[in-house]
Amino acid sequence: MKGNNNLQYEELGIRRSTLWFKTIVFGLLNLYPLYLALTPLYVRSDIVSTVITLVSILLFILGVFKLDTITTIFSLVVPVITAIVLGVNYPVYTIAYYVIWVFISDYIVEIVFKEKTFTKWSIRLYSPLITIAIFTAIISIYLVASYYVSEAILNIYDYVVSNTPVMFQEFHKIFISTRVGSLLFIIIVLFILFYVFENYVYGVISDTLLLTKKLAKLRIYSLFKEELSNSLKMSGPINTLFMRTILFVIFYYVYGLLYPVLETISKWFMYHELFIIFYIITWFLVSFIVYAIIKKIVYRALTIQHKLVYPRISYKSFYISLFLLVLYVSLIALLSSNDLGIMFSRAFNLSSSKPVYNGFLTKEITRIYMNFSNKLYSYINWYVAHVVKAYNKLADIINKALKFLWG
Amino acid sequence: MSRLFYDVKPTPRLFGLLILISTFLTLDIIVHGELSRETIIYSAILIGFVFGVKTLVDLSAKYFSKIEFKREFLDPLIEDKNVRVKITIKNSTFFPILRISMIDKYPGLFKLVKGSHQYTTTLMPRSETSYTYVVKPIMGKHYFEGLEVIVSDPLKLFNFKITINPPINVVKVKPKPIHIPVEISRAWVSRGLGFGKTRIRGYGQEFYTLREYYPGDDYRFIDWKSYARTRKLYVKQFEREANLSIIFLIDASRNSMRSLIGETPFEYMARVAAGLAWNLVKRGDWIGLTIRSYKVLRSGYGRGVTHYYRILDTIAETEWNPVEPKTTLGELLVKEAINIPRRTKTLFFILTTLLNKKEAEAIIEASTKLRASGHIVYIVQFLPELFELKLLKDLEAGIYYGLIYDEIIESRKIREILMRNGIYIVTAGPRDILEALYRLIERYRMVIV
Repeated sequence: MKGNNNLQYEELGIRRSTLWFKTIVFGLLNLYPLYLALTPLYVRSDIVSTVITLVSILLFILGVFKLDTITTIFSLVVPVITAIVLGVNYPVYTIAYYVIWVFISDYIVEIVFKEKTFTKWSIRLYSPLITIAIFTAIISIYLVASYYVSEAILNIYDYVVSNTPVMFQEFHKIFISTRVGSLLFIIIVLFILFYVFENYVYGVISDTLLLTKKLAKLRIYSLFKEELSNSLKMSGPINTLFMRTILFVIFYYVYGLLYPVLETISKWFMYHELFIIFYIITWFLVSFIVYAIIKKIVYRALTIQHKLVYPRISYKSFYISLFLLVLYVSLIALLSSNDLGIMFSRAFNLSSSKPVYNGFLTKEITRIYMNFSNKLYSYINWYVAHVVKAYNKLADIINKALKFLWG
Repeated sequence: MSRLFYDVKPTPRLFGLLILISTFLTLDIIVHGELSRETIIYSAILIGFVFGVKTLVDLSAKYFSKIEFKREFLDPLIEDKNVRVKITIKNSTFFPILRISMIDKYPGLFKLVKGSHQYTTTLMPRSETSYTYVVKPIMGKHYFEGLEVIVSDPLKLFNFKITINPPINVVKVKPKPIHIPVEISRAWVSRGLGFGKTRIRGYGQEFYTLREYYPGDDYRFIDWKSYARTRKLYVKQFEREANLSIIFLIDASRNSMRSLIGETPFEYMARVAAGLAWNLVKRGDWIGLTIRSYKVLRSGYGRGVTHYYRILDTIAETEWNPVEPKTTLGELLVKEAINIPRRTKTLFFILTTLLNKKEAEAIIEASTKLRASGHIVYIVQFLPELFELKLLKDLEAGIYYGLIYDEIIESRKIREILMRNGIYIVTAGPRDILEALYRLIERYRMVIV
């Protein structure tokens, strides 16, 4: 790297007493955070705060002398925790900034005050500027993005809570107003942030910095290819989400629809626990079967497949239907009192006159059917009542679980 | 260079930070009973900061393949002489690497003298930085294990670690030839031997005298000028050159590598061989050097200053490997005798610790063969215990002597066996090797006279 516009710096030798410099600089850099951390306790006059103040000052001195970041952080954390426990209104998030500041001061001390240096530098004049510019640009992009995303989430949430009267206010009551609920809420917010950063912000930054013609071409090509293959294979995040939603819905409905049927079987079981296990197994099994069928249907509907090979013609269905026909005919022949000719003409409905069902089987079947028709209404009623009961039970369980978790 | 795999990992610091933040959040919620809008926004900003820092490391990983690393040695590689090792890092991209920490893994036998092999810096765009550290090398072939690079963000929250091998990673350190004091060399050289020539007639370069031609003499040596003057046939005669032919056979097996590094018998052997080689080369003798380590190293057979450097290079090829060699010294001796290009009487010096009876028997067998063809074999037995005792004092020395007593007895027995078989054997310690060897060589030169 030659040229007149370079900064040259060479250092040959050993700085023997850099340890003192390090200690002093590290101490000075962290003195203000210590002051801020101690302020809420310093004002109070009880014994606990005085002891904690002294302890944290001691920890700080120890940390600075040993140049140990962990001890220094502890010296800042301990008074803040005490202050919060004692009920002082203290902005909590500031502690994170103290910690980051301790790390940064560690970095400064490490880079600037090296003990053994036989080093040589050759830098362009604009290199430090670029370094600072890139660092600040990337960090500030993230800071701004995180601020606006969190603001947006909060605004949307506020709008939803204020404009939907019943349901979301209930939701708010259950979720946000409780302790665990608020923790869950902040986790959701952070997860959304994580998703936005990981998928959009980082991609934009790295693509801008590493953009070349080749890369752009490759990206466009791969994007199209990926989308195409996703839609063909039913893979990819959106398709997966879609299919999982379907699975969830199936689970929900199968639970209710199976309930009345399995309720009748429950008498057969000696123990109720055994019945619950059986119920769960059946529920899962049926749901997955239904899910598999629906998945197949959806897959067939959404994908276009080229069939290179013609399907083989199968005679299985033909033989089955032939067997059924023979069975039907022989049954009628056995049970009918008429002679064969009339019987055949009636069986195939070839005669002009209306068929007269006066055989034993036909009579019996008719009777059962009439009975069933009379009672169908009550059956349906019974079924629906049980389905309602099932969902009530589910709601009850969820309610109990929520109460157990939230208190 | 294997630089393809970069795995950006979070450090324990990040987990610590996150645990701290989450603890405070929980504490806040428990104490205040609800989540304030402010807390959400500030924790979001913190997460943003952490992600920004991660992006910096991720991008560094993407640019890392374009960064050049170079290792240079600023001084010649000679044992006991400090060598400056310079590591240069060049970033020709437009992206800065905010914290790069390097550890150069120099060979384990080397000693760090000045500076540090570890270096942490910020690598700015379009910049070049280098750091130098000084090591004290040890004779032989050594390997640099690689440059361990850790790239992280300034806060050390995320990093990736990679070991790269900059171009020069094998070093061959030459021995420091033992200095032959002037008194010794003068004492032996001044005994009327001049520059190693004898007043003996024979084939050589220097003209000695003319004599009358007898039938059967070589036509090539007829002096035609004298014939023109005197009408008689005369034959030219030359001085025979009394240059010696010497082969050093160094045994670099496990036993010769005992004692402290820098003071081992092997190193003494190599230094003495190198020192004597320089002296002999100046006098025009023919020399060869063979090292029996876990593989056999040969310098070849020759004379002149170039050959001397070849000998040094051969010594520098020796690896510090404790694997026992497969060939015995006897076998090697016979092989070397066969390979000598000139048909001259050759002096074989076997420099060994010789603590093995089998080896001794093989040497006896080989030396009888060599003696038949006119060669002379000398065994210079280095007593490793003397090398170790040199470093110990008083009680320690006594204890050590007690511990190795059996070995001393064994080596004495071996010596007796060899002497009974008529083999010349010389025992030497660290203080008297040079004299012993030098005396032997000069005595042999006198025998020829």
